Amino acid sequence: MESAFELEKLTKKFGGLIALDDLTLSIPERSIVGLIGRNGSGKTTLLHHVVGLQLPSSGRCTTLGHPAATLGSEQLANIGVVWQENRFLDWMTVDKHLRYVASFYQNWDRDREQRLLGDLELDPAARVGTLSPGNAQKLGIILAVCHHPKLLLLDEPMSALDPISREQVLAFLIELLHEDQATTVISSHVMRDIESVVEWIVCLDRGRVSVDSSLDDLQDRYSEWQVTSARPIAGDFKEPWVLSQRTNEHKAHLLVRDAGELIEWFETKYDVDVQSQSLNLERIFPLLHRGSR
Amino acid sequence: MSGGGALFRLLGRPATLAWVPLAMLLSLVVFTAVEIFWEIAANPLPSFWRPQWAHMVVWLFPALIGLLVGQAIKELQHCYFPWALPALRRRLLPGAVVVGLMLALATREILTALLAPFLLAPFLLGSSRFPLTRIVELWLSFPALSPGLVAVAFMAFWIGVRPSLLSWLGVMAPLALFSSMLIDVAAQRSAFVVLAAAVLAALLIYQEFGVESARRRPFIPTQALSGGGRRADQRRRPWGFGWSSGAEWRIEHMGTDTVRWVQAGAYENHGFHNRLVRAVGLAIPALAAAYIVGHVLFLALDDVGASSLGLASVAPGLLRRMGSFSLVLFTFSVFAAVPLSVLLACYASISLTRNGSYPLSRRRLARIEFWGSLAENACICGFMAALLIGFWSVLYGGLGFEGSASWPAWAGGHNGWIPFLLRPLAVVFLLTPIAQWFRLGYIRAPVAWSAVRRLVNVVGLMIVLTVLAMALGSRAFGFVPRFALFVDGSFVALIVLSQVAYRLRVDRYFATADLV
Repeated sequence: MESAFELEKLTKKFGGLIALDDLTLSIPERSIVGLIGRNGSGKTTLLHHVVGLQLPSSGRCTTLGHPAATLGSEQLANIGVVWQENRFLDWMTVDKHLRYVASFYQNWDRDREQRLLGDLELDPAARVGTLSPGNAQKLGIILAVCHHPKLLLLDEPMSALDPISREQVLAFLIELLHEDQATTVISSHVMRDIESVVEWIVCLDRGRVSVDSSLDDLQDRYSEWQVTSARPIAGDFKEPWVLSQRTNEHKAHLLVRDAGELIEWFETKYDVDVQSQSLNLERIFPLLHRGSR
Repeated sequence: MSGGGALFRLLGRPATLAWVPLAMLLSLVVFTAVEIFWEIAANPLPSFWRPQWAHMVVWLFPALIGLLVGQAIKELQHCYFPWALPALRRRLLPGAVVVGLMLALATREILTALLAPFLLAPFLLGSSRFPLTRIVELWLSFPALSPGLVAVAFMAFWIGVRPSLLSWLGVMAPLALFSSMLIDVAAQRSAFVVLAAAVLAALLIYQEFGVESARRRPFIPTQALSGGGRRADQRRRPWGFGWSSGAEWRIEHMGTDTVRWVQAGAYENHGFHNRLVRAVGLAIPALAAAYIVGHVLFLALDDVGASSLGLASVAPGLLRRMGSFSLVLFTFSVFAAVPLSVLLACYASISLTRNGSYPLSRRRLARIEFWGSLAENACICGFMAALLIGFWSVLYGGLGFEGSASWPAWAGGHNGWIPFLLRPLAVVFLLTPIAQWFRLGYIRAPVAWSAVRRLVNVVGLMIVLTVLAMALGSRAFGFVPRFALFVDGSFVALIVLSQVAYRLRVDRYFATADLV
């Protein structure tokens, strides 16, 4: 499968600060990727490189088959971006702004625009400068998707949305992904949101890729064990794949990694019963960082 | 979208409609003043200066419109979303080129109309005795100058598009000095000048619409739009939106001391002194313009000049009452100090930023705003005092102004430093709170104004306050010496009144307004 974008040994330095560190990553076409990481891990910088807004200190970035630094109008017409920083032309009305941006695209979907305006309850006559942060974010989303982009980059797209709007945007994104089959990268701290949409997870940690895996694999790898014992549990379990444990006399809660096939062995060794359940992304996320340190 | 559409949509707003007549008015005022000046001046300046200023309009009008276009484009490029718009720069460029060419042609037509005797004579003179030879001569020679004039106007437009407002003013005036030279050359070598204009325009276009410039823009804070974009480029942080002044903050515990909070206000705005240093670049053209206008007034009101103008019956004896030095210096305070003060107060301030979260009550915020404004006003007056003294030194010493013999008497005389130094400064000190109030309510309002509208408002305010200062100053400088004490006392009273009024407005603002 072709790559939607590809980073090869990419390093980005801001003076003495290394924002992206020898990063190699390939995102296949039509995949739906969750880009996660702590604050300052380099998520936004990575997205800036993908659209050519920032240039690497070394290494290279290729987007839609072209060097990101020299993306032409043909490629840009196939990219949609929701920026974390919502800065628009404040003096325009929503409708005027939409008309302005629409005029740059051959295939602007007016029906989709009108439907989204209605669903997200955004007033076309409102002045952009008076929009709340949440409504500005809705405008950003509409601006990014109505030209049917092949590559959709969403940088914290739902951070300012209320729960209802968030649900609507998520439902729309799922529909959009089926309709357009766009490669989608969602950078977010709200794991619950992206978990329902993405199929692949890329986790950044201090400018490096710490995890590049399918969500299913990730959920297979990390699990929670509820351990019960007839006798009091003495001390901690020392196995290296036990990432975290909380013991309470006859019971213990363990967070484990790559231990799916070790349950029977564990039960035998410690004479305990183990009930395993998979973790959601919200709970896996801290473990990813703990594992990388 | 057609080529120019992207730009025209950006310009389709009320602020643009307000700016165009404002630009035309400014150009016409300068042009008229210069034409009168040249016609009536009995060689007060080296003859080199006159024709350059006469063609100021060729630079000024297209450059003012260029400034508007540049602000609109920069405003767009400071957002993130345009980066991903396909062929944005390619679509903006044709529109800008079309506007530039149309403007260049329009400037030629405007100048043709201005130089037509049947239009100019009644407007300027109202007297058949006025020597029209120069104007007729210009008018007749005009067609020959056309290609060069259009080329120069086109260049001026691009120079207007390119830099920020502050650096724009600094660049424009020195270039304007050579406009006539360029136009004269163009009369003989049209092809060469047109080519040179095209090359310069292409270079400026490349810089303005280059990919690197567009790549940097989203990371630059919008307040840098009018306050010096190039420096902001250099000082921008990697991914932040603040820009560093390079100074270090050494106070560890702020406490409740108002002075420290005022210091914090200066620090947050990258050091007020930085802005003052940069304002020196603005001061030079402002002083030159003030000198021209002052001298026009001087000559117009002089017996000889006035009679040649047919103005003897219009302002009899006023010059005798004011004195030539007073008149020239009065125009300094009006035409240089007041607009400069408005610019400084609107675009640079000692004020805590709005989005900061401080452990301060609204009442204390108001107090800090007031004392910060007062400190700022004092700094502006100190800056103006330095400029004034420098200006006088050049005027009386360097240029050999006809009143230079009176310099020592002026410097130490009873009618010396109080009216000539303190009264212009008093005018500035009196009026600056109006600009500060304007800034508080509009420039730094929670719902930010667009760069274009801010530009229109600030220039509008500059004009209003200049007219106000003119009315105020003409009274102050017109009094005979025996009323000096009364005049100075009135100034003190008015300053106290303006400060009390400003304090009340600031208190009321912070008590009732939305602060974020």
